[in-house]
Amino acid sequence: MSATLGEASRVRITTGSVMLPVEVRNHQLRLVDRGVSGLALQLAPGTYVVSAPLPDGRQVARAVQVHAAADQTVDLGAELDALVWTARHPSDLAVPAPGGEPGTVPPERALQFLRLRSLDKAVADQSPVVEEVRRWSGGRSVLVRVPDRGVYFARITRAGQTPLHVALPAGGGDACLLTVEEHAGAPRVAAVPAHERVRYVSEYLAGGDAGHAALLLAGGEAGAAHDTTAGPVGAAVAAYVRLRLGRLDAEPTGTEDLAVRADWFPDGAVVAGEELAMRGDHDRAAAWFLEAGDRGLPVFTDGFSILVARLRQYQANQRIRGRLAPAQVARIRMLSARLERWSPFVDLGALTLTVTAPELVQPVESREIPLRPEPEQHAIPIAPLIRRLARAANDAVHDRPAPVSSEWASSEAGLRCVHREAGPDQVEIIIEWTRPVAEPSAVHVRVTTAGTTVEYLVILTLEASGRWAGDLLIRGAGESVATVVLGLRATASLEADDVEAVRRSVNVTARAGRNAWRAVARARPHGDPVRQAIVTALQH
Amino acid sequence: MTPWLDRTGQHPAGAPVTHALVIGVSSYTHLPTPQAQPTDDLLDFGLVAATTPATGAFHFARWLRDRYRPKAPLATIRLLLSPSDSELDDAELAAAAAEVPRARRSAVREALLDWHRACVGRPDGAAVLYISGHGASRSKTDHSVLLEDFAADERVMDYSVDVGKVHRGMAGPAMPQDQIYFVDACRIRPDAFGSYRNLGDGLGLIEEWDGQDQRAAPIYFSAAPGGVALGEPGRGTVFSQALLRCLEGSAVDDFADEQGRFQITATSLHKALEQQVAMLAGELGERQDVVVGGQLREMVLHHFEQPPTLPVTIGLQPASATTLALADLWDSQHEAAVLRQRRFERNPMSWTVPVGLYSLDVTIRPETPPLRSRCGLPIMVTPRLPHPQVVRLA
Repeated sequence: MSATLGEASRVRITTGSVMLPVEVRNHQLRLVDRGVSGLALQLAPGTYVVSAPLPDGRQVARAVQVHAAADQTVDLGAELDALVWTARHPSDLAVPAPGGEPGTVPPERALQFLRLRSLDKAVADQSPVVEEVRRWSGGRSVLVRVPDRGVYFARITRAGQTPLHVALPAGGGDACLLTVEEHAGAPRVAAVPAHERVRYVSEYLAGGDAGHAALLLAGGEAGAAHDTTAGPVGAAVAAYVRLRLGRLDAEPTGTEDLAVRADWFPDGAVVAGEELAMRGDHDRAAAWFLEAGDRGLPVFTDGFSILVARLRQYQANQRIRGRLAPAQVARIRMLSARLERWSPFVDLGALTLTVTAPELVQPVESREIPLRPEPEQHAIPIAPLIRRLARAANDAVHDRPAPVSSEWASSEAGLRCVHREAGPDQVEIIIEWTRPVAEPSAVHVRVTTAGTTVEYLVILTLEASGRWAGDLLIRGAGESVATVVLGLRATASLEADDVEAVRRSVNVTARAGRNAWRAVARARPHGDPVRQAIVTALQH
Repeated sequence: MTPWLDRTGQHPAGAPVTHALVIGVSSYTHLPTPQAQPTDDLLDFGLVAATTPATGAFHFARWLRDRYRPKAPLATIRLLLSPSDSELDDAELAAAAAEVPRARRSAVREALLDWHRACVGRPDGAAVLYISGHGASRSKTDHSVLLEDFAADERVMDYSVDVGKVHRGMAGPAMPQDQIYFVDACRIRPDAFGSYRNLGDGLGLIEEWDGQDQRAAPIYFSAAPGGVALGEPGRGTVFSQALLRCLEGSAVDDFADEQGRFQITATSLHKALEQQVAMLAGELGERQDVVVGGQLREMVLHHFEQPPTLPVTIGLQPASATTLALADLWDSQHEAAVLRQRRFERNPMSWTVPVGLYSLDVTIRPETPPLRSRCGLPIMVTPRLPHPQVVRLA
């Protein structure tokens, strides 16, 4: 500081109840000092600019007059309160209210949780708990707690649109915040850790401001990096900040400990590998990168990006490749090829891994369906029930208004789909398959109703007309129903993983379809889980 | 390859200098014209030729030539352009395009190696790469940008630049430790690229270095899943327009350096570029993001000889003071006047002044209680401050 002790005043800078990076500049806008809220420094008399940069790139600032020997506190809380502090993607989101019951939110969207078992498998999982849905700054945020140790994704769907999968930065009891932005009718979802300090550090990191993220990490009574309540996710965020800035401490920073302790967490292995790679220890780094692939997809986009880049480097750099075992090189090649299939579908600007694709683990394959055009174009919205009621009220001609129905057909696709009202809050979905069917088959469909999206198998039966057709009766349809046809499945290909889909499909199958399911069950061996599921469902 | 700009003779041998490589590809020989429909040939990736990347690349090269002030002075610009027919309506661009090689594989390969050779042994110098065209991103570091002769044969990706390979090939203690990369590429359709990205290898540099990488080497690129980089014919891509606005002043950092100069840093550029791209894309009714990859150590990209100018917006409360108020803007020491006796033609009112800290006097004339004049109000003119700054007169 440029002040004699006799003239200088002690100036303390606060930012309300929030801890933020703060900076002080003199009247020539030269930097005097920087730190975090609570920063106190000795300043000579004069005019200074005190500012706090925000994660979204804005800043709050105040010009401050410092008089000789006159201590003061400068609180930027008022300026902060005056701002609409937006997260990267604020939005509306249709989610189940706490407790799992449908909330009073628009039914156009649905939220599901998936657990990533491996790079090849993701399964629906109900264990993440929605603890709170909060409206803030014109958007909505959802607090989700993930009790189990594992990699989880939020899957956000809307009828007729490609689903969005967002990795949840939580696990082992941690919580995270989801916010969603609506842009041109499509959702953009962001997820940040719920732990306050980690959340703010993550926001700065997401905004590309690793420098201020590092200030927050280092500042305060206990930096986030040492805050034991931050968990492995917080530790990984701190590591990514350090790695972004290329800061390698003289001593190891504990990333390998993190990778060992949190043995379910791909990012732990990624940051351990990256730190070793930055130090030039590529042999050990390669082992950790392969371990990361065994654990699944990294939760953070930085982790995915680091993994892809390093694996490419290790294939191309002869010096490094020469030090690795041939088996390692082969695994690196396979993992690299596997990960790069996600690259085109990843939002590289998002903090956590965000994949826009029909299926999370098969982003390329799930776009390659036997039907043309793209599956999203098969979505057939039914006229909302409320419109039906309005029409009936004005329709004095008919004793009973005709049920609302909609139809979509394509000779090129070999499909005809009908939605038909079938009673109060019930919709019948009829699928006709106009091409030859060589073996017992079911049409795999995804049906979105009020607040939910569910996949069914529509068993096909041969009708007198010579066409193959099947139908479902969906209850609780709400105001709209949308169906996406995903493809044709031979019933002989059904496996244990399909048991839940089979069970709920049989439950909603009407008439001739139930006999077809009986035939499928009889054709399968005793003890077969699919047979058992069909039999159980038929009994109800 | 003969550089488009060569000032090496102006600097002492061995002095730290900056070498730049700029590539802009709008014209694609083996793709349909911009107005045509994409073909069914899967190896075309569903693309047609572009109309704006070469303009953006040329504008950036021109800024480097005329305005760039890095720590290590500019020595060379290697420029390759493949403009579209419509871009050749710009006489200056057409003249430049006539002087420089087309952005085809063989010429780009030579330029890359030439640029690399010029940079070797200059750790105190700097390197700049700007490349614009159709492309795809695998990670925050690995981007492929397609060249003019893309799809000349089945090994389509041979006719591309692999920016990740270039980035890694520029690592090592003998290379400039300050590097900056701009990748302005619209994203190829995800499903097409996912299926066919392995058809060939993009141009790069030999990746030899395996030790610690101490560079500051950020890569700025446009990112939107499945989205295309936006552009306006005649004005260049949104990314290039935003970049030029940033370099002209809106990316100035909030701090002056020890010599009192204002500068653009890697972080201040990212923040400003995000805002400018979002603003320009928003004017087109679209959304486009900017992401930074590579190595993010802090570096100074450019400094201003004079503080850049920015708008300062002053709002008066109550609004009834508008017709009665006169503004005098002084330097922070209240010694030199910057603006004198300015009326508020509207409320709030904006003036353009150099970045800095000022002292504002607002005089109510004639005196009209309860309105009262105010003197010595500190006014900040720096980027990223919310506007307007409000003066209460009652």
